[in-house]
Amino acid sequence: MESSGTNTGLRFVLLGQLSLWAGLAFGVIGAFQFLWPGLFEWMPFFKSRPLHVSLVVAWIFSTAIGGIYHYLPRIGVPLYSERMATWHLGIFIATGLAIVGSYLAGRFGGREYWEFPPVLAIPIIVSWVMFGVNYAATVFKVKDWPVHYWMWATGILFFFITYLEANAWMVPYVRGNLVREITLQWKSYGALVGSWNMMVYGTSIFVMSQLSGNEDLPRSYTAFLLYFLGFTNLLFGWAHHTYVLPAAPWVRGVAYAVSMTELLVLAHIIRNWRSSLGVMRRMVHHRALMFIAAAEAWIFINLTLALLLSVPAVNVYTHGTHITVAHAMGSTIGINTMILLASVYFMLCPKGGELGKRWTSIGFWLTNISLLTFFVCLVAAGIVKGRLTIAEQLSHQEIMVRITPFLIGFAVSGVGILTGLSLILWDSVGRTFTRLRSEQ
Amino acid sequence: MDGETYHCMGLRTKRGIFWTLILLFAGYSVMVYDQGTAHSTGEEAYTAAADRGKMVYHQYNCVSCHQIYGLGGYMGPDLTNVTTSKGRAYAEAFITGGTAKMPRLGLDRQETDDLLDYLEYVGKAGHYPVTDLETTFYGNIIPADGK
Repeated sequence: MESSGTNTGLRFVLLGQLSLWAGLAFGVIGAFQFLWPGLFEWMPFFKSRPLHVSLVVAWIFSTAIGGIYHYLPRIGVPLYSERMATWHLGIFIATGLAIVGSYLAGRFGGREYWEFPPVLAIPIIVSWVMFGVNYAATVFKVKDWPVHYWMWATGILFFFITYLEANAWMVPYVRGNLVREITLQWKSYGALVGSWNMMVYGTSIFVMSQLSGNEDLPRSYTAFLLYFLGFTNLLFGWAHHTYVLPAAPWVRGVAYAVSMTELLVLAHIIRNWRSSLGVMRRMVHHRALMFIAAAEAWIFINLTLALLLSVPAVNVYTHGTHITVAHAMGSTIGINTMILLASVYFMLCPKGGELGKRWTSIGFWLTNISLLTFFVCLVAAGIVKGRLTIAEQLSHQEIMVRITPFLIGFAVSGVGILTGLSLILWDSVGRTFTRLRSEQ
Repeated sequence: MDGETYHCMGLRTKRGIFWTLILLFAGYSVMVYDQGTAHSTGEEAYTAAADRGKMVYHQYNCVSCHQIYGLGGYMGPDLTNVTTSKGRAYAEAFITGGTAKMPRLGLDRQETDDLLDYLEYVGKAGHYPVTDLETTFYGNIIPADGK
C-alpha cells in the first residue's frame, strides 16, 4: 500500500488504543466491585461501569473509523475532504472528553450504554454526518464496490439511523408506554451493535484480501450472500433481548426465525475451517493473521452461544443473567478487538516480517486464555443464576452468594485480559507514535 | 476459500436486495411500534410524577446496577415488580437508606416520591421473571397470560 501523506486515520487509531487501555482498567475496577462494592469509594460502580463501556465502545468506533480513513487513500481512493476528517477527529475527542468528564462528575441523564446527558448526542450526530458525507463522496467515484465498501457504508448509515432511533425515548409516544420504550431500546441497540460489527467485519475482509493478495475474495458471490445475511440479522434479529416483554407474540416469532438464519453462517465457518487454516498457515509470519485467526475462533464460539440464546425456551433462563455479559465480552474482546488489533498491525507493518516480538506473543496468548476463562466463568454464573431465578425462585442476595466463586474467577481472569492486552498495546501504541512522528 | 472459483453478484441484484431489505425494515419498524407494542398495560399510571421519576432513574444511573425486565446491570436486583410485589415502603427504605452494597444516593423527598411513582408504573406493565409458561416443540414460549 502507498503512503498518502495523511495521518488522520492513524490519529483515530492511536485514540482508540488509548481508549481501550483506559476502558480495560475501569472494567477491572468494576469486576472487583462485584465482589467488594465498597472498593474504590472515589469510583463507585455506577461511574466505573459507564466509563468502561463508553471507552471500549470508543475503541471500537475510533479504530474502525481510523482504518477507513487510513486505508482508502492508500489503495488509490483519496478522501473527498481531509479537512472534514480532521474536524471529525476534533469533535470525536472533544465529545469523548465531555462524556468522560460528565461520568467522573456523576452527571448522567441518558439510557443504558449512553448514560451521558442527552445534549452530548448532538455533536455525535453532527460528526457522524460529516463522516458519512465524506465516505459517500469518496467511494461513490468507485465502480463495482467490493463487499467491504458495502459493509462500511451499511455500518455508517445504520449507526446514524439506529442512534437516532435509540434517542427516540425522549418522544412522549415512546416513553409513555413501557413495553414500547424497552422494545425500542433493544431494537435500536441490537441494530446499532450490528452496524459497528459491519464496520469491523468489513475491515477484517479488507485486511484478509490485502494480506492474501486475493482481490476476488471481497467480490465473490459468497461474500455478498454472507453480507446480506448479516444485514438481515442487523435489521430484524434484535428481538431475542425482548422475548420476555409482554409485546405481541409475533415479534418474538419473527426474531426467532431470523436469528436461526445465522445457522447458515455457522455452517459456512465449519465448511471453510480447513481451507481458512491453510491460508493462515502460509501467512503465519504476519502478526495481523494471528489476531484474525483468534477472531475466527471467537466468532465460532460466540455464534454458537448466540444461537442458543435466540431459542426462546433457553432465553427465558439466560435472559438477565451473566450469560448475556459473556456474549457481549466474547463479541467485543474476542471478535471486535482481535480484528481491530489485526487492522492496527496491518496499518503499522503492512508487509509483516519484523513483528516477532516475544512480549506481544505472550500478550496474545494471555489475552485469549484469560478471555476463555472469563467467558466460561460468566456462562457458569449465568446458568446457575437462571436456574435459581426461574426454577427455585431465590432472592437476588441468595443467588449472588451462590455465584460468588464464578465472579472471583471472572475478576481474576479480567486482570489476565488487562495484562495481556497491555503487553500488546505497549508495543502497538509505541509503534503508532513512532509512525506518526515519522510522517510529520 | 482457497482455489475457489469466484462468481460475482450483479450490481442490480445487490441494489435490489439492499433496498428491499431497507423497505422491509421501515415497514416492520412501524408495525412493531404500532401493533406490536400497542397493548401495554398500566399506561394510566404514567403520570407527570412517574415521568419525572424516570428522569431520576436516569440521572442517578440506577440502570448501572439494576434491571427492568432483566435489562440493566447485575449488581443489584431486578426492579420490575419491586413496588407491586414488595410494596412502596420496602423500595423507599432502600432508596433513602442504602445498603452495604448500595450507596445512599441522597435523593430529596420529591425525587424519592417521583422515583417510586415511576417504579409503580413499571410494575403495572407486566411481570418479570416469567416463570409460568409453556414451551412449544420448536422451542418457542407461550406465557400463561398469553402475551
